[in-house]
Amino acid sequence: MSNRILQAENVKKSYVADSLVTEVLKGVSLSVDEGEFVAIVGESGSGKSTLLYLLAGIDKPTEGSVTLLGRNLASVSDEDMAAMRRREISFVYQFDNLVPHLTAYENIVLPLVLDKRKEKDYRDSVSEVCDFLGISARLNNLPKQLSGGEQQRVALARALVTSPKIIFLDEPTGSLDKERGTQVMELLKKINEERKVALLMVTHSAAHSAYASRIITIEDGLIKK
Amino acid sequence: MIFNLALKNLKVKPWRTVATIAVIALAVAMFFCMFSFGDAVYEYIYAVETSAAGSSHLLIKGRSNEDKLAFVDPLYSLEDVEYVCPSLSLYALAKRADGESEYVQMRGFDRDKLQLLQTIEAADGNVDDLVANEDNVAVSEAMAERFGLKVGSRFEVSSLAGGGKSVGFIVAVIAESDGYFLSDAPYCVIGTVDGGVDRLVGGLPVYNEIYIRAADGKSTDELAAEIAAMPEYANLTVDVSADTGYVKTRADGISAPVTVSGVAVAVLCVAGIVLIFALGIADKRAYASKLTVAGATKAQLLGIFLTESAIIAFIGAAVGALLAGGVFVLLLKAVLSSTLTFSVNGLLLFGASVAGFAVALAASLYPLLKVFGSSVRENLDSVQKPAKSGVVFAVALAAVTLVLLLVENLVPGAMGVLSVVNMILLLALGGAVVPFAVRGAAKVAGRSSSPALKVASYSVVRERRASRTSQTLVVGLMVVMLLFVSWSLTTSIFGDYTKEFENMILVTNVSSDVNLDEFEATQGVNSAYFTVWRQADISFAGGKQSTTNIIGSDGAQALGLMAFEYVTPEADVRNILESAEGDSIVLDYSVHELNGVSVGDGVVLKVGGDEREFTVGGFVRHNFFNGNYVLVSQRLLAEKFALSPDTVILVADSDAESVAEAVRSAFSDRNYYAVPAIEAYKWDVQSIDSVFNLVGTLAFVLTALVFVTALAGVTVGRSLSERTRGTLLCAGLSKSALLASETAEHAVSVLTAFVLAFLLSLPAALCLVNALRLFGLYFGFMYNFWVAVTAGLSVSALYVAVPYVFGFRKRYGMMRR
Repeated sequence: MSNRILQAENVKKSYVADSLVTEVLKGVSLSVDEGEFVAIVGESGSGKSTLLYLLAGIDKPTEGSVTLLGRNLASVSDEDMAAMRRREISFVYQFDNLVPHLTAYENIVLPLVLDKRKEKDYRDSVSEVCDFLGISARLNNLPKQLSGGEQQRVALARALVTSPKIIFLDEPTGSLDKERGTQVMELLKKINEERKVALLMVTHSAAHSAYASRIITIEDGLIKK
Repeated sequence: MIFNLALKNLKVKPWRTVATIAVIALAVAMFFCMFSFGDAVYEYIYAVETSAAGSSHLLIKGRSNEDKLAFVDPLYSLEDVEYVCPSLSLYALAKRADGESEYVQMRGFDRDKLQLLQTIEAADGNVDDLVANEDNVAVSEAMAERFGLKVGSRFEVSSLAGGGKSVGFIVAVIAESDGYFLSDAPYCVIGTVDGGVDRLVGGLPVYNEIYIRAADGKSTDELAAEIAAMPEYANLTVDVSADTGYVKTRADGISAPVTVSGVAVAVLCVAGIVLIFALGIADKRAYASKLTVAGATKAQLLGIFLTESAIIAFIGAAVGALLAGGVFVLLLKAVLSSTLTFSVNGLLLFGASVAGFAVALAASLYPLLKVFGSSVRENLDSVQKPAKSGVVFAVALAAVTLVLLLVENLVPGAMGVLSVVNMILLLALGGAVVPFAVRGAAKVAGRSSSPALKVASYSVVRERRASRTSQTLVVGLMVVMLLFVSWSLTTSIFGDYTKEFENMILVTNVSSDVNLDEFEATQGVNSAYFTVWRQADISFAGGKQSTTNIIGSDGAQALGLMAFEYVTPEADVRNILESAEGDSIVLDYSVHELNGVSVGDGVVLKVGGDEREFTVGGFVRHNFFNGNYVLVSQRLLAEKFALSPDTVILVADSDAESVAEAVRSAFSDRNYYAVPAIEAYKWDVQSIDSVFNLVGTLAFVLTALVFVTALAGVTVGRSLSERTRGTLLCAGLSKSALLASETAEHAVSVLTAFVLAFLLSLPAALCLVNALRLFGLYFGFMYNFWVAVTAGLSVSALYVAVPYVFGFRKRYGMMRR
């Protein structure tokens, strides 16, 4: 139990639209340990992205509880959640991860700037992360001047510079071609192995889920046993 | 296909479509309101000025107050006359319910001519009852309330002449504030003659005013000349019953600041429309890029975008037209008069709609220029080509504006149209400079360690939408400041004027052998002036002409009446008015500024059809009357026009109302009409006050327009940056900090715009004042610092509060669907 960083208990989520209740998640329980690489797979509409949002504290469950880094998310304030995102967890979307009017470097250091950290304190570590991800030459470019793969690597760099304990990834290769998708997956594997960062990744690609140490399959709002 | 694509694109972002339509509609409404203002004021003042004379063209009156008109019949034999309406008009004292007496104007008509000049609209009672009994009269709702009268109430009226004969009247009708009752100071009482109102003068059916309307096609001047030539009317005055030239001069004068400001408002409206389309450029470029990839030709792209813009522009113009007419008339009814019928100028409304439509369509072409000037990829990513043209343009504009401002103020005769041009240039300069100023301010703010300020700084410095919104804000704030300053200045000048008159009492109905010493002996009277006060036309060399008031001065007495400033040394002015020879007169200094008239020049005064030449002897200055008076010695008026004094002006050293009462009691055996000057011009005071209130209301409406336009810009701009906000939250910005960041972004934009707008509003106000010369008005530079700052900061505060007030925080989220 000591190395468990995420615990979800009987998480349910439903939406109401035009008096019609749609139950997306019907009671999901799972856990993630420190340094683990977990892939959540499932068909479109199975509820995997919704589950990721709930586990990352971006959305709230209708029922059930989520405990992240020892804190029950139901009782974590907006301010504390924001602080967690600046220091302990990161999130990477499928695309549009970057602020369009900021350069790649400004995007990468954004959580550090928001955390009021001094540049001299993080300059070296950011440089090391950028070298690690192979984007050091593109730091002064705006997102629109970068390729899709480069943009995704910048997003990963931003996710890494805070030295998080866990990174949530929502189909991080979904907008990339096969070759670049594989490159990103190799990077993620490297991040997980070398930096001991837990990864929780949603994907619909069986090939990419194979990089994970554990695979959770969601089907019709439930974990398939 | 093109229409469907255009329609679908409009539906994709409904709020943006609604915001764009709203901005176009408001622009159309404001175009219409500002340029209809002058006509509305004219209609209002015309209705007030003609309330006594109604639809008549000519008025025959005695030359002195004692004259009675015995002959009416000869007029009925005249050809080309539509109607002849004799009436008896006299001042009397009516007793109120509390026992106090108050002046009223009693007007008696033949029974069949009661409504010949004006229609009486009954709020209570039946108009037909007015002829059922000779005691029956109509009074206004205001008088009924003041006197405690109801239909059927009886009240006593005492004649001012003949020892104050008292006669009873019965209220048959309580009328709405329209027609005869529109100018209800003193309160007007309408009744009949032949046993009615004429009982106050002995029960004889006598008249002292005859109103005549010429038949269609008949020249009023010719008819007046014909009547004047008739022996029965040889010694009477035959004049136009309402001087439309005078009404126009007054209406133009009062509405001029707003009409000039209308140009600035038009610029603001255009800026608002351009902004709303400019904010959608990135979206349009991306859409065009996708369509191009799908095989759309340039012609098809043009077709789709123009159709889309035409749909929005048409709906906006139509909604604006509907709004404009209704809102403006409601505004006029609420502020000027609830009973007057104001006409909506259909041509102006159509013109405003077409202008709004055309500007919107033209503004929508701007994104197309970007689309056609860039590659598909550049359009998809909305790549901005580096350009220094903005800096070059701003510097060039500043240089041109500075040079033209110098020309305007240093080259004689350059003011007027150039002032309007410079006002527009200053607005444009504000728009050109503010993006750089806002970016500079944002960079400074970004040095703070506050995450909210840093994020705000990034956004303002890098995003185009911040620059565009600040451009609308700077132009909007400048226009708002100008309108509020105009309102406060006109109101304060008017306030000074009423203050100057608060100790004066006018005594009319006086005979030519009146003894001023008797008045000065009355308690509370400080000094008395026997004077002539007439309307006249004045013509200058070069053919320029205007309406003015002749003030006949007994020696230099008139100089004590008002606080004149002396342009010509006071001693010289006194000499001119006291001189026993020569034909010199004293004019307002604005005549020199506006018409280039100098000392020694000849001018022509026209009074009652007689034209006489005079020489300009000197100039004085008075802010409110501003060119609307001529000081002439009574000697000259007698020599040239055979005019003798007819009004005594008393200056009281205590409350004017009680001194007027003392004068009435002291001279109760004479037919004097003595009222405080403010009371005598009560309706003038009220009507000008109403017009100023309308100016103020328009200033508030325009402030709302600026705010709505800025808000629409915010709505459109934010719809494009939703994902950015999600990313910022993802990077660890809390919702509170994001809200603070958006607020800081607003604050940096609007406060910088405010400072710039304030600085530029100073020369803009100078241009506005100079532009008033186009309307025959001359003022020195005026500016009300506190009003401008208060108005500007109020709008700024509202804009800063937008993220909080509109609950931006509630819609923050990182979810993507």
